[in-house]
Amino acid sequence: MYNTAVIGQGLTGLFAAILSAEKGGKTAVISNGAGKWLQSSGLFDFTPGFAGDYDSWSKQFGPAGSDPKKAVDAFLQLTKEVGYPYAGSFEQTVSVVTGSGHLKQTQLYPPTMRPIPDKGNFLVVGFEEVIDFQPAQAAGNLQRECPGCNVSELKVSLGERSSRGMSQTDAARLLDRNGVRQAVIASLKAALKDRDAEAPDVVVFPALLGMKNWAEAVNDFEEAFGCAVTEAPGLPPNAGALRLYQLLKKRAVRLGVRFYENTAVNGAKIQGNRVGSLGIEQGVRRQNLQAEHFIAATGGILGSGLIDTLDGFEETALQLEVDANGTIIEVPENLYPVGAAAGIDKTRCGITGGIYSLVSGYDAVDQITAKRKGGDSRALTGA
Amino acid sequence: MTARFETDVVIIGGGVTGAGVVRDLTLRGVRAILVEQQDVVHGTSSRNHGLLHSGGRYAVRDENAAIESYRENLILKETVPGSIEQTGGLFVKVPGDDDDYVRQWLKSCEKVGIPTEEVSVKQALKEEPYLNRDAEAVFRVPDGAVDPFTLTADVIADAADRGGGLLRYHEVTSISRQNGQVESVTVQDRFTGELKQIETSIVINAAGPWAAHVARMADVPMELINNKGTLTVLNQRINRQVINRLRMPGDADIFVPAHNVTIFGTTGVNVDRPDDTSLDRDEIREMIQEGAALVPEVENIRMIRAFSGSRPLYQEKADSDASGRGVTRGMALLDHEKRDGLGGFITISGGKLTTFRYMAEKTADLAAEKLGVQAGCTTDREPVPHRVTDRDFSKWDLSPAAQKKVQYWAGTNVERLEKSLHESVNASEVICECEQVTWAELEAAFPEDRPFHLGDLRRRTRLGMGTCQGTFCHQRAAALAVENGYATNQEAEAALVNALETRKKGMTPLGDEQTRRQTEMMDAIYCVSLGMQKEGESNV
Amino acid sequence: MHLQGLNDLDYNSCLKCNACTVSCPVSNVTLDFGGPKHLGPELARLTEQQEPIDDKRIELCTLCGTCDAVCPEGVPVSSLTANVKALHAEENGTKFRDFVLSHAEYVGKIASAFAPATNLTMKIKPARKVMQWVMGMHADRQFPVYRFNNFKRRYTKKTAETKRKVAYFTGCYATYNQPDIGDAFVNVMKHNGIDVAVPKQKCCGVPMFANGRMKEGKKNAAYNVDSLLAYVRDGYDVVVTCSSCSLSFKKEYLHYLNSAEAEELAQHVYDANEYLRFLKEKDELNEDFGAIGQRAGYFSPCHMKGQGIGNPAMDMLELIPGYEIRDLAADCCGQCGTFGFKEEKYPYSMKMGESMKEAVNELDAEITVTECGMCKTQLDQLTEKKTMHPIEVLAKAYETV
Repeated sequence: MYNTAVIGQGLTGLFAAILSAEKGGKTAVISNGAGKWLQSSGLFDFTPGFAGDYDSWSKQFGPAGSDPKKAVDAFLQLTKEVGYPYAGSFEQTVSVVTGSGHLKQTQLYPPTMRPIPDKGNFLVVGFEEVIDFQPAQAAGNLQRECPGCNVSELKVSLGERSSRGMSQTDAARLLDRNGVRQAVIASLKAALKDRDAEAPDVVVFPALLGMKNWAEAVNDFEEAFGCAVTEAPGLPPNAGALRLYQLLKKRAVRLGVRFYENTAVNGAKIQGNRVGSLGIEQGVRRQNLQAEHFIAATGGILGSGLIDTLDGFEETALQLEVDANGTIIEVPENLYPVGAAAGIDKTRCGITGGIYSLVSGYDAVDQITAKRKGGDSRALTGA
Repeated sequence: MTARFETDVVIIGGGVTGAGVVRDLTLRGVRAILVEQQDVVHGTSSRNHGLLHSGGRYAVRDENAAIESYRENLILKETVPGSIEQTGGLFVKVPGDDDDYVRQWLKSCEKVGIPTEEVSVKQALKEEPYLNRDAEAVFRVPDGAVDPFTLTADVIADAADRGGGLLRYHEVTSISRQNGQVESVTVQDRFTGELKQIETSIVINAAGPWAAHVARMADVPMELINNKGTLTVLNQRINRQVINRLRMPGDADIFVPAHNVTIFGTTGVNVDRPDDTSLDRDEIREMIQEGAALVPEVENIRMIRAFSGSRPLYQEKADSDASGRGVTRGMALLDHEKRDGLGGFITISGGKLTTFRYMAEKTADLAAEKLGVQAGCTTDREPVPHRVTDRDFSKWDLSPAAQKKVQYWAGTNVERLEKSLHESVNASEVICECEQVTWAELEAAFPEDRPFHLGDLRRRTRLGMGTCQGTFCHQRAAALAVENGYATNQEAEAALVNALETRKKGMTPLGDEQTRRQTEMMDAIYCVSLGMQKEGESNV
Repeated sequence: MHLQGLNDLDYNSCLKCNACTVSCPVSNVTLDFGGPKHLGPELARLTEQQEPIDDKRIELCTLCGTCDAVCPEGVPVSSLTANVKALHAEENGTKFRDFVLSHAEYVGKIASAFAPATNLTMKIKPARKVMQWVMGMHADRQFPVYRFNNFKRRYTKKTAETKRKVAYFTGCYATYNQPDIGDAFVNVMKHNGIDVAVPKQKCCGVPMFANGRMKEGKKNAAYNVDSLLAYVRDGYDVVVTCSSCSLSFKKEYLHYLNSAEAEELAQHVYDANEYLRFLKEKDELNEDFGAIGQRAGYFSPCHMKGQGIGNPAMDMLELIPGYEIRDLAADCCGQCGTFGFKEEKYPYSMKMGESMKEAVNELDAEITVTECGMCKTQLDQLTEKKTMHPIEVLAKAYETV
């Protein structure tokens, strides 16, 4: 018997599970896959794909109840504790450069990425083996979008070939090795020696600056260039997203969260206005999983929490009735739909962008904790 | 200023018919230029099953079409072997289908000389496990699968190698006539806006569904029925051989294997515009329900794409048969000198992919006669270079799957391919994983004459035609094109926007759960992670 | 009953997202591996109804199943790669070494019969050098010890008389290498008033699947289904102490045998701690554990994670007074069954083990607890800590009363 069962281990589910376990609740995560971590950029946006500020965001996402800033603070604190401290805030929207050289607006960014100033000398570095990032494209687009800047590009070899196509995360693991880093730095310096360009103010890399040893990698490259370096996330997999996922997963496991992987939730027992248990399935085996509270972090259409059928949306996990937005119509009192599972009006371009995931996950755990402490205290949290 | 050229024959329309005509004429030593408003084979020629008919489908209803189909089937297997997979085909009777039709069909096949062989249902199920287990009778016929993209491209490339001319992305703006005789054709470069005037003795209108539009430019009245057919692409290849339903031809009764996928269709709806390639969700749903009679699993197997194309059906008087199936699918060769008193103007329309060579032969015969050229047709024996190469690629660092793709695919481009493998650092990298397209293949396939366009690469290599419909490879190909000087940043960006739009157009009407997720992932990657502007809304 | 149909190994859900390859423990240490996405769903699609493609890189797949757990679309990646392995073995023949390694049971019988000699040989460096040369087994790899007094000799009961009856699938490791696990299991059951029968059984087949010997693996699978199902229909619960064996009954047999019998068996198979947890939920568990003051780190084998049953070992061990257990949160150990024994795989195995070693050192517990004998081999090789099976700890706790 769990205090809280979280369905889904994407960003929303994993964050909620960690918060729940930190508050002392016996927590389970039921998941069928790792969510969409490995397809994401590692950045946290208000309105993904669009520029947006707090006001426009709260109009669309309208977080109920608790203070959304607390959720972001909790996330920033958590990333600090696991050793990959994010920066940024609600107040300030910043521009970062992407793997195709576009500028995008974001709120929270990892320590391997930095906001891009609107003037200065930028050097875009690519690697021969990493086909997912091409410096000419990135530099060309960055130059177009940032007329006040002076963008140049450079391509060197990582010194190792891959038999399967070198992804950014493969390259990041290579750059965990000091020897590879030093060889890359040497070839970069050799290539720059022949140029009489001004020293760069920022060096832009693909999202591959080390995996476990990102701090050493960033430090070595900054020392070598004598300026700031940043990752430009693009085609997945992006190292930033993977670092965060692995660290949060480890955190959750160490906290004693029980993971039911390879497991699908297929229906639930609803008793009165409460979820009694979930029907969980591994292949042909079906069991019931009991908990006091259930957090549905099952995702939207992309995360397969919702299916868009010819007759409207279907909610795939608990199989509750949903409206035209995919929002559960009658939410049982101990069920908390969070993140993209709250309905398609909480997503843009298929995803929540991250901020809403944090806020809704935090909110759910907050409500559960309040109830655990003092009976039903919904009124206290204002929901 | 308008540039001027001179030739003997201008062929309008870079579909398979126009390709056949330009090659046929070039082989006869006639100077010919093919003009196409977009890329070759973008229209009806590629918007079909890719079925190399044995003639079985027409045996009962249209004897001549059946005879022509079977004869051409045998000729094409010899002359364009690189674009044909000799799969064989099955005609399958399922419960509810008319017994009488089966008897009639067998009799007709025998009469017109199409070889059939009865196969036990058990054997058929062994060969084709996805077939309806309740099938009642199965017959084997010599159907095949033809790749219309490579077929058209290779036929045109062979013509070009022999001196034929090609202008892609050139739209005809006017056809001028003088004293009852065509005199010249003016075309406009769609990218630069440049006008070119081509003086010619003969104009051949092979514009498919646009034929009536072209005819009107020469002041020739013509009516065409544009009959739109919708097809879908299954994510996986479910059949080794062609599967037909043994009944009077109708909707949703053919499954044709095409490399790693199966193409399933089709429907027939008359439409007004020649470029109407719209897709209707209900039509697709009905088609899938109907197709389940032949392959029950079709309702569960992932579909990655739907597409539609218009059959240009010619009739002296436009009729109102809504399905279009009552109208002959035979060819219509119009000598407008006789019909309308315009010398040197010829229209070739209708027909089928399988009979394209024969249509081209008859058209070229007419043109040759008008030009006083004696040389006869040789396309029935002169083969187009094979796609499969026996060159050894094992020394390159290619994965077995990529090596197989190159081996079976690159024959006509092998010199450029090897050059890329020698010179380019990324040559052996797989850019499109679903269809195993390497950078070497893309480098070898870049058309030299036009700005960068992902569709051009797609039609020549299968880039982005697989499971993910370009979710990953479009960005890779575009970025590498910039990196290697094949495209400017602006061109690459425009190509990406266009490619995503056209891919999604074929994905969204499907109502397929997995493909729907794929489009969302595409959005998330391009619009969010890569920060590309979403159409119609500001990103800044 | 639900029968898996034609789409049993459905790769159509794959969105090509790369989650599998990014998370694959082998891909993470070497670029020589083609990765689960390409060798699984991608290759399956490229060869469906067409000629097969043999890709040598499949040899590096360990069938750990991490790909299955991370795939957001539910693609049975490792079952697809297992088929590619089978094809590769068929096309290229199996090395004598792989034949030996894939026949844990056959080797176990012989090695156990000559146990002192076997163990001695496996510890003598010159002899191991010869084995590396002749057999391709890495000389530096520690081998599990073989016991003359194996579990088959120790325990022969074929029926149970109690209300709840357990049919115990011992597995090769607990039979030949560490029969103490079998003893401990029987004792734990005894403390709960449950009789244990040991049905006739053959190696579960996992080592065969992993070495591409699909036909033999299926043969063993069919034998076990026959033998165990008879017990199930007689009212027994099938309980297993080896996580790879239990996973094969729950998952692999369904994919490879594709039979109603395999499905029926799968419904009645329990990992040992999962079974104890089940007893606890039914209020039937004897919770009279004596206190054990120990700090332990739990290492979760891939084949346990893959079962999707939470963490039953920790659920049980947390019931022992004074016992402090934390999950190491470690990745794949890198031994991966027979993989780590092979000369050419040994360096990969060592690299893969690095993160596990770091996790063990980081947590710095007194002992490590894990269900899997092969993971134990790697833990013994790479860390200084003693390793125990959770059932052994529980047996000790009952006896401490």
